[in-house]
Amino acid sequence: MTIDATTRIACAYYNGSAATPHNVEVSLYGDALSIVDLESENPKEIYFPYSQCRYVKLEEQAFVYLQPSFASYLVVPVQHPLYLQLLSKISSEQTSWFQKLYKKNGIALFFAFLIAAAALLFIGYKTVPPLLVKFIPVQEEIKWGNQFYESILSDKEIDSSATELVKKITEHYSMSNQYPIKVAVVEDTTVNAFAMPGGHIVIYSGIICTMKHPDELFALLGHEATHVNQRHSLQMMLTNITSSYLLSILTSDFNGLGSTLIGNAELLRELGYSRKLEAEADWKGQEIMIQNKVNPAGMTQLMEALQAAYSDNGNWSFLRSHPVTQDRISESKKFSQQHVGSFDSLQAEQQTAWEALKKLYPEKPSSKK
Amino acid sequence: MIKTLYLQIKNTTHMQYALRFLGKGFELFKIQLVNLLLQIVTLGLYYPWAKANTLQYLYSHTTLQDHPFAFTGTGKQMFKGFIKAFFLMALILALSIYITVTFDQVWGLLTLYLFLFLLMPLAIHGSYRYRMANTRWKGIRFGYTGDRQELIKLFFSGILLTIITFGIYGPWFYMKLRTYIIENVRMGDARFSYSGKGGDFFVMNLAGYFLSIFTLGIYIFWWQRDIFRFFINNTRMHRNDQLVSFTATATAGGFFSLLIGNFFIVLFTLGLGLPWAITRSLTFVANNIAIAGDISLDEIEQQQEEFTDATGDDMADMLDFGFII
Repeated sequence: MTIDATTRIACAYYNGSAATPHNVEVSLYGDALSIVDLESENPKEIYFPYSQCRYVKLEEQAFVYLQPSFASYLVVPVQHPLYLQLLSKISSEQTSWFQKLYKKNGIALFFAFLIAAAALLFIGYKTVPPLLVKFIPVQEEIKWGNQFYESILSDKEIDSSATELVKKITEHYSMSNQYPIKVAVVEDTTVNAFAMPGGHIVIYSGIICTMKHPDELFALLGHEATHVNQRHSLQMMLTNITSSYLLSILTSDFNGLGSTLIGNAELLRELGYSRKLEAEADWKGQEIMIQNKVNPAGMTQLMEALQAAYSDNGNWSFLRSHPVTQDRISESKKFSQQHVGSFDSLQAEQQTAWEALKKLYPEKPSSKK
Repeated sequence: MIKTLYLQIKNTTHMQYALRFLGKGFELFKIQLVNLLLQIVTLGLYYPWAKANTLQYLYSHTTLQDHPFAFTGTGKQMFKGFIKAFFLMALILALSIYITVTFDQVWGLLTLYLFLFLLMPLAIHGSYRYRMANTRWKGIRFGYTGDRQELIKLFFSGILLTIITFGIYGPWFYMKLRTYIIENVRMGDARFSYSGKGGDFFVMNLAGYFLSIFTLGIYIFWWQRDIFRFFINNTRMHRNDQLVSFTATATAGGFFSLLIGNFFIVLFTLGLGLPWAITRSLTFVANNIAIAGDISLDEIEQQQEEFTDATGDDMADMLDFGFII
């Protein structure tokens, strides 16, 4: 049935100042509806544009709000002659993005969401962290690094005598022009070592146990120092912060953002770098060795020792984050072959320190039972 | 206790009011999907509008006497509030960092916690004023008439006593806070009251805690039921000398199927099923509150003011405590 604009049809109306319904007459026009409140003292026609109206369908009736304030509304039962026409007019006038999208098919929306989420994560990961790295001055990075270092080592025991020995051994080993490299040895049987932004390198005693030759220590430090020099750790942390921000967009939960920073210090222990960054740390580490006249073959020895340790026991944290692949070993071999030359052997003082260090953390006999 | 019982018997003889939740998991899912899509596109800035969309849906699908509630807050208001709350937080953070750098870390942290504590009652106050003023039923606005100064006093004296008594005062503090807040909630010219006492709350939780341990967690569902009962049965609505009382009808078995069901829904859908868990919970709550009394709801008159500053509500969001009732 078509409704003539002049047709007035009775409806229950709540005017927003009292909870009792008024009996009104409703008529529909092109872009607005009108009501006449028959119970008011001075009944006159009031117009409400459809674009300002909203409705909620609940069971057998629709509640049609006439203003954005939701103050006044009509109750229109399904069998009311204006029901369909009124709802479709209001629905077609909804212009917000939300309303437009909400009308779309659920499955289509879900796929749109998946695509948008993937795009957000991909673009965010690829572009944001490298951009952020450029904006952080070295001095700031060093300051952060010191704070993270304190928070991460609060539950770890630093072996000060081993740390002193490593300091002695590396006295003439220059690793960075930009960052003050500080090495700390932590008493922990886990085979692990990691670098923090700004220059702190933490070595677990477990990894010292696997070493046979001081060159392996130089190789490890060269590798970790490269992570520092190339700001890999900073980049990784920024990637984590970015991803937790991106995830908070996806889960609309903005509460945990603050704690992410702290959590990141912990992640340094476990999380690995990408293969590309690892490879870079390997050959740049070997370059550091050459600059210091240390035989770059130490890198290969270190990797082989680690691989042996990996097959030996389960404490292979370092290897989980720095997987020693055959690729890496052969790359480091190739590098050594290209850079043959004369290398300095350790001075007496350093040799004594190395021997003392190995006395503290000797190689374990193979633990295969 | 006897008096409460008497009042309930007296009032249930008059009228029953139907509270229902008609929201569907799939529709809420769709709303949140659209919200997320828009949040992604706006890099998160859509958040306040998304919140408004969700609240509007949940309110409008909750009915009392077959008439829906309406949430009249808008994304724009909450966005303004969000910006204000954000800058306030940033200011506090900056101040504490400044103090840490120039003086000492301990003073810096103290400043931070002091200000965050100070913000809490302000956030509660602001949040209630905003949420209540933007809740309507049959066009009648709710309201919150609490006084900010009084809430601050109540809050800090409570915190102080809780600290001095090593936390024992906690339940009393919580009930005092709840009483103050609920007694200042208005629905037009009707007001609410709350009579839960700290001592009862303490004993109930103590028993619940130990019984849950002894029964390896099985008692948790009875404990949940008791808490729900305690909150609902102690709440009343008054208008002139008329009264409406609320009675919880939830059982431990009901809580069991609700909580375990929600757990599996969320687990097996990797979180995608959260909207279904939400609608299940709200349906459960609405179905398990019996409302009876002699206030004629149709006679309630508009009395509460408009209030559009959402800063407190957004602050409560940032401080990570949800709506208290």
